[in-house]
Amino acid sequence: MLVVPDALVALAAVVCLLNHRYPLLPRRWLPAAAALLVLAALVVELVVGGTIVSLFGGGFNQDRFALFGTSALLLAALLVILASDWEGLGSGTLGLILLGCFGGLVVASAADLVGVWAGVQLAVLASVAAVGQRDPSAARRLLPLAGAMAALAAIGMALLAGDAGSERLVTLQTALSAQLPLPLAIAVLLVLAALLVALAAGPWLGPMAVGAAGLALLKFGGSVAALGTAWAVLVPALAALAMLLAAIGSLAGGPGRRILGWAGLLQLGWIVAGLAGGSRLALGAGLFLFGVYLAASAVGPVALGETPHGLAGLAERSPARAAGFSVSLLSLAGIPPLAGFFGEFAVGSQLVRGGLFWLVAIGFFSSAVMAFSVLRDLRLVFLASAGEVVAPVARNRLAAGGAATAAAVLIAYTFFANPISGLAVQGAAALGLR
Amino acid sequence: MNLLFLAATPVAAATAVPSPSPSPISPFGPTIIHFNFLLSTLVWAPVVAAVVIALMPNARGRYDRAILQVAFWTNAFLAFLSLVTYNQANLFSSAPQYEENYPWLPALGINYHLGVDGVTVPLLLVGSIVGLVAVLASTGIRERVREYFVLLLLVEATVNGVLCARDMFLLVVFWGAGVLPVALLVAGWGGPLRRAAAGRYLAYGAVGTAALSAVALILYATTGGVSFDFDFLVHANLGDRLQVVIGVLLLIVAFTRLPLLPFHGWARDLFAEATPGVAVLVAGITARLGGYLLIRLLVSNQHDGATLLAPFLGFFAAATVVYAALMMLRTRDIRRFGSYASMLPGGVFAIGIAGLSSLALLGATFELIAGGLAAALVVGVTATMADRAQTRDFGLMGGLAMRMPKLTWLFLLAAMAVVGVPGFASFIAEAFSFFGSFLTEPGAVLVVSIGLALALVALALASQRILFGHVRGDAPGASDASLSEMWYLGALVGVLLWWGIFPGGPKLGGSVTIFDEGLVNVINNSSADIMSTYPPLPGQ
Repeated sequence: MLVVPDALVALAAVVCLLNHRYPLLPRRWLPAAAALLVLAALVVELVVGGTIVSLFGGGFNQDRFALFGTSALLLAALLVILASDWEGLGSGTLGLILLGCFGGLVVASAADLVGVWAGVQLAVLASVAAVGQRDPSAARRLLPLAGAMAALAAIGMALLAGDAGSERLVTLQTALSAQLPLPLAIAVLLVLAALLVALAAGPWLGPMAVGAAGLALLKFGGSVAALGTAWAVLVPALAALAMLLAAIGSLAGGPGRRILGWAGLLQLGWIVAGLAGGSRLALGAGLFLFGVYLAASAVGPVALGETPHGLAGLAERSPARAAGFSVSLLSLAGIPPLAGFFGEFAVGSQLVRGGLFWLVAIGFFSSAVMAFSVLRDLRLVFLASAGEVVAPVARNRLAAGGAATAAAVLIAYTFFANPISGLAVQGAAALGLR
Repeated sequence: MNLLFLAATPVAAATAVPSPSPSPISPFGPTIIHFNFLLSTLVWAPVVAAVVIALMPNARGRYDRAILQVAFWTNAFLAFLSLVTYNQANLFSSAPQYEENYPWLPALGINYHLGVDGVTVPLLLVGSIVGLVAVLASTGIRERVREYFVLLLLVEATVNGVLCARDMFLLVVFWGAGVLPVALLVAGWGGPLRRAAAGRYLAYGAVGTAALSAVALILYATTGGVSFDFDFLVHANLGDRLQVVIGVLLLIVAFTRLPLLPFHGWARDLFAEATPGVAVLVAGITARLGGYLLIRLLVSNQHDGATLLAPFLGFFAAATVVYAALMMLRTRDIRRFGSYASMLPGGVFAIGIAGLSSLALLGATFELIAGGLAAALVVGVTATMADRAQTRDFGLMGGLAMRMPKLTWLFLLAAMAVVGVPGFASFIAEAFSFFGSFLTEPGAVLVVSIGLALALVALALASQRILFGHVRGDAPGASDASLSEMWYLGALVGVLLWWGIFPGGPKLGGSVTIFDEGLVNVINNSSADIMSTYPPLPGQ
């Protein structure tokens, strides 16, 4: 029963991909059917996922981290399917998105470095292929990046496994010494770099690749958080860099998707900062924020649809899409009272407890700078004057309804923060953190 | 002690220390209305109304009128509830009342904890009155009416949220959530420089929110990371240095809202560019939240920090009042004139806080209310005059008294209210603040008094120039205030006069309070309690 969600997603992916090659099922109903399957998988996961068990000779772990990660990925996939305008996209794209989701599910449940690596690669490659369906030249540019990422991660993980004597994540914690020697520091750096590259490419790769890479980062981070000085210096520095880069980048402006990307990078900085805390509560806060981030970054771009330059007057043309985009942007930028702010504040509270005041200050400063971009875009969306160009938005009621639903889900995330954050803290505890 | 008598004879107040009345007053109607979610209703009713308005179909502005009515009646309902809260508050308890406390994020020690005390209850009432007035002032909005009122209601919800919050996290959430809607209201409906004004407001708001978040996290961390609840954080035993750090951060938060020098830039632009409704709402209550925060977090909890920072606060208070008065003398733009005038109450409030005595704190809290109403009145009058005169230039506004007699009266009343002429509530607030602070901050009090005198000169000169000067041939046509404008400005004047004449509440037979228990009494139960934890001043 515990592998039913994974099986359902894999089944949906295979059906969609086959239907792309051999169109047997009506294309119009495929997204709705896929959404139903993903919803069923989410329900099953929430009902039976509380069981803690190890399957396939210890390669598949069902614990609280897996429950949280799987649920977050399935929710993100559901939101993407609901809010996307499938009239312009083929069933192949749908299948590849679901395949990417399956890769993420593998990461969520993986108990060793091989499973983590394989899941991330599957998600990233499926996402690159999905991009290729719409824009082959973009996919050609992304492919070398994905290859480099895979290589870096493989080398880093191999070095770590070699030193620890095992590829199992649980043994990494105990086997690696507190004083990190240089080769191991390089290995950790390689893995982190690979995962951060995948996350930074999120705006182009899409939420499934981001979900898989993010879960891998949190899982890996949770396992090696005990590593001494290098970890304490490296991770906060990376977090600060991501936050500042996002803040500065957002000032340059650009189309809606780009602002979403910068806001996402800012939130990623906060998530990485959660890793820097090195405690169960800090990583739990980071995991909670990651769930918010995944949902928001999934909704934002698809709510915009295929009109990336069409922010002006979006609320007039498509209120539901405007709501989806705005709520995502506000959450990603960490503007109160949405869940993104909750998560960032939760991470901040743990960082302060750990004495990382400077990192919190950088985070708040970056969020304050990001607020300008949010104001600029929301003014365009809701208050565009008659003189400003209003780009047409494709009218698709199903997608618009999906965008509105996605916005409602993001708002609900705020109100149900307690059980979700509780599960996230348990998820962090499952990684062995205290 | 008869506080009405005290108010009428300010000399006596200089040596008196107010304390809660020794015997209960029985106001008419306590406990008539009772339900457990009073404060939640005050916070969330505007959000519900905003959602309803957002979902209303409004093709080509067909239901603009209905939207206005929903906003108006929502605010009327809030005003009624606030009046109930004010009327039924327990005068003899400084403890939080109407409390609601539910765990929200227990792992982090965050609760949905609401509650009000004697400082908060009058501010809630004033907030709802200003909200109602802001809706009346917005009847002239013709573009994107639905979006306008949605944002206005959201701002009101965040104001009530800040006032009712008894949990630091909740406070930060409401504080931060109120910034963007105001910025959007200015950016969407303001004057020619609206985008710059909105951007500046957002910048100061973001700085304030970041500083407040930092305060929350520092308090949380230094108390062991257990809870964000006020009741827990007040027991924190912090060292002098940490209290000063927290105090400086709180001053930054407060200065960005009140506004005080050097964080006043947004006010000059926002009050000059925003619609009258938004300007009234911001000047009347949103800006006052900065002062409320100083009382709630600095004076109440950080005794050493407050004592050490008081001289600096006095300095900035004096600098703000003098700067505002000088700029009022210099400017030739009536809306900027109103903007600078609206900075005066913030300075007077700050001098009251710097005094750190019972009387000064009573005056400062009174000034939050009276000063807010006076600031709202002055920005409302100047905005309406600019609209009606079709110009903002003093040079083109001569002889308006003949062309807009009603607005002329209102301008004169606003001028009197903002500098604190006897009869207005702001007079009592200023008297309490000055007399209460004179022992501890005499220099700053003197400079603030000089600044107010300069402001009075500026108001007199402006009145002479724009009301009674010659009508220029090239001046655009001018008309007097409309009915709704009269209502909203008249309501502000009425409330200021009411609390100016009856600060201790109107009484039958000299003892039985009717309708209003008296603003002084309601505030005093909490302000005296707060100051009772400080060492007595010399000679007391």
